[in-house]
Amino acid sequence: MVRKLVDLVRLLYSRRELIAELVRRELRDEHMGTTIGALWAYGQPLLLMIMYAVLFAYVFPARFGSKVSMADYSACVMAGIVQWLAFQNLLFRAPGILIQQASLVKQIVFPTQVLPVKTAIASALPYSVAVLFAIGYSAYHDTLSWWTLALPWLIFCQMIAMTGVAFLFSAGGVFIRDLREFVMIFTSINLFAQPILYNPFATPKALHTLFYFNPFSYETWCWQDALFRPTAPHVLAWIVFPLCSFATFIIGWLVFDSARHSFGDAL
Amino acid sequence: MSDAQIAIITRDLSKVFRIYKNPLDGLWESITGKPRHLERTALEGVNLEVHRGEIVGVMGRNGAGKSTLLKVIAGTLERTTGDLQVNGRITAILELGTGFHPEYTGRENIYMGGLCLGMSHKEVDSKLDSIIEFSELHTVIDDPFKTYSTGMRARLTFSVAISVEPDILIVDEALSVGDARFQQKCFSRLQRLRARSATVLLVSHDTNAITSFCDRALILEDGRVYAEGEPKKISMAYHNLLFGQKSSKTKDANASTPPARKAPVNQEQSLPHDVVAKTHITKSDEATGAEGLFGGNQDGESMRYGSGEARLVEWGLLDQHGDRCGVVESGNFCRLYMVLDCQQAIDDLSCGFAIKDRRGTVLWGITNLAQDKTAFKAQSGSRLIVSAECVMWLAAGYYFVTLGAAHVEEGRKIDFVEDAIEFKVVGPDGIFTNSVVNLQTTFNIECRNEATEEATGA
Repeated sequence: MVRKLVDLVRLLYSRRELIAELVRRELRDEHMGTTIGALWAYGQPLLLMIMYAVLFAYVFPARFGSKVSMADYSACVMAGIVQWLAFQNLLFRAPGILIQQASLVKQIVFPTQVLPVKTAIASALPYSVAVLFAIGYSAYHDTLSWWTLALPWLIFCQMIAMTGVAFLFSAGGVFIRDLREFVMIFTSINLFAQPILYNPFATPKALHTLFYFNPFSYETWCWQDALFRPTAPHVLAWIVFPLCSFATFIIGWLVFDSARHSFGDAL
Repeated sequence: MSDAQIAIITRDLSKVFRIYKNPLDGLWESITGKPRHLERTALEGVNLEVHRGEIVGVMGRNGAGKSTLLKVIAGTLERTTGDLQVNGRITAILELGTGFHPEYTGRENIYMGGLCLGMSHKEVDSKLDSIIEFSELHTVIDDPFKTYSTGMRARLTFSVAISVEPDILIVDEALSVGDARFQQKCFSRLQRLRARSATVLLVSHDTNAITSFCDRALILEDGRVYAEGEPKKISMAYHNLLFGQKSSKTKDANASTPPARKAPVNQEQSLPHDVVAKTHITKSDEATGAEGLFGGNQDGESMRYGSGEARLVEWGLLDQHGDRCGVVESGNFCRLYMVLDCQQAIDDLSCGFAIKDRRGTVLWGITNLAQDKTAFKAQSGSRLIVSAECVMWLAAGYYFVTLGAAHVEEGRKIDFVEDAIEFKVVGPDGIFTNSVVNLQTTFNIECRNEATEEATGA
């Protein structure tokens, strides 16, 4: 298993130029023909973030009249939502990775491993601007702390997890074409099944139990710790999240690797 | 043969496609273990050995398993059973413009294609000029790929694929869309690859290309290797397979091409065709014009095929005196003839001759259809004497005459004899010995010195 992983890393390194080119293309292709082109790729997430910020800082507090500082609350939402939007972006794309590139898989001698990695990067990259926005927003509300320095580590872990999911779902999508539909439903539910949109100071107990069963919650907590100065850091999350990420990556790769030879037949 | 010289080796290679009517069937099958699929065998027990520095042509009807074989060797499909060993870096052109994006320009696509094939940016940079030059697309290289014609796409695909300098190159019919000149260029490039001891595996329906450029050829039929060997013989066997078997009324001539490897039962049948052809000439020299002269060895002829509605009973080449001959002097009159007995009425008869050179390239040909633009109506029981009078303008060399009769409709062969006559052309003197044609030349050098030039100027 270790050798397989080493081989994978070596291959990905040797094909880094190809991956870079593919990522560039994916971002460009998506908005091909539009006036501002690839800017859309970065602009869309940013607009979403601004929408959430406005919604949670000004619209919701006025409606509910909560006692907690609403500006702070919205910074917390920003921290949680940015990582989920990036992940969700990948989840949408993952089942179709190989199906859409069927000709590459079938017609030429091509390292298929490159494709999921490409998609993971291409779905995360546009959110770099959104992350900067979230950091800026937190800085404005003065909720940054020493924990913020762990952000690169969190991003790394998330990339690992996203690549793992990309491996797993891209392989799965080849054989189970319904995967895409399942994922669509899952993502819309999952937004509410993790502690993102809830006021951390006023979440019902029942929901808390649910959060603990959802692996995505741990990721959210880590991000919230990093960008929203914690009164009591989620120590458990900082252990569980990296472990889950690496486990996902290894499982995803093993499944992908064992299914790799039947892609040509199934497509 | 040592292992180092073998590029591709397959042993009992089989490929079975599983067809699931319902995607859930696959899932169900893996859970219960009960088979819920149909099987379609694409390849069955293929044994193949390809050496380094060899160009091997693969022929076969549509659906015979050619593409599957190439894909299994290239590794984009997994074999079902058997062994496969491939030594070296493979590049495959299985489809035109794979990895190319229609919206991007030719130049951008060269980069993408090159990266897909495993080159680095730098490598592509260094080869960019030669790729564009080879593709001859200078003027349109910065236009979007979608604006290219099929032939242009083929040119770009091929140019990129070949720039990788692979150890093994697999080409699946991609070349057939290029024009003749580009094809020629590709083939000479392939031969240069071969000179570096690279291996080429080529699928083509063009028997001319196969005989001219391949060292070896094989025919796939129903997923098996049907025949394998020298390109010329194999392309004839392929021709036979395509047209000969369709309407097998008579048993003899139709079934006369055995799978070369499997059943070399009949010594007579597996004789090389040129040997058979030679016998004709010697016999015809002995006894001129005797009817049914060749009856004895005609059926043993391996390169004869057709439905048998009519039968060629005699044929030959006559010189200007009307005598049979095996040697013609270039520039002299000669006459090709054949005698056809029609067993049945044939409404749309087309018959004629073709002369080929040693590589199997057709140099000249004529049929009544080509000449008169109408088919000939032959009555049942009639005997036709078909002849072509011509002046031999071919240059010195050995040539072969293929003759026969066919239906106009679909070109269904009635009776065809490949390389029925072998003849030699001698002369003309004073031109290159490797000349193909005699242009009846007068050659002179005129000398004009300055003095005369001034004189004419003044």
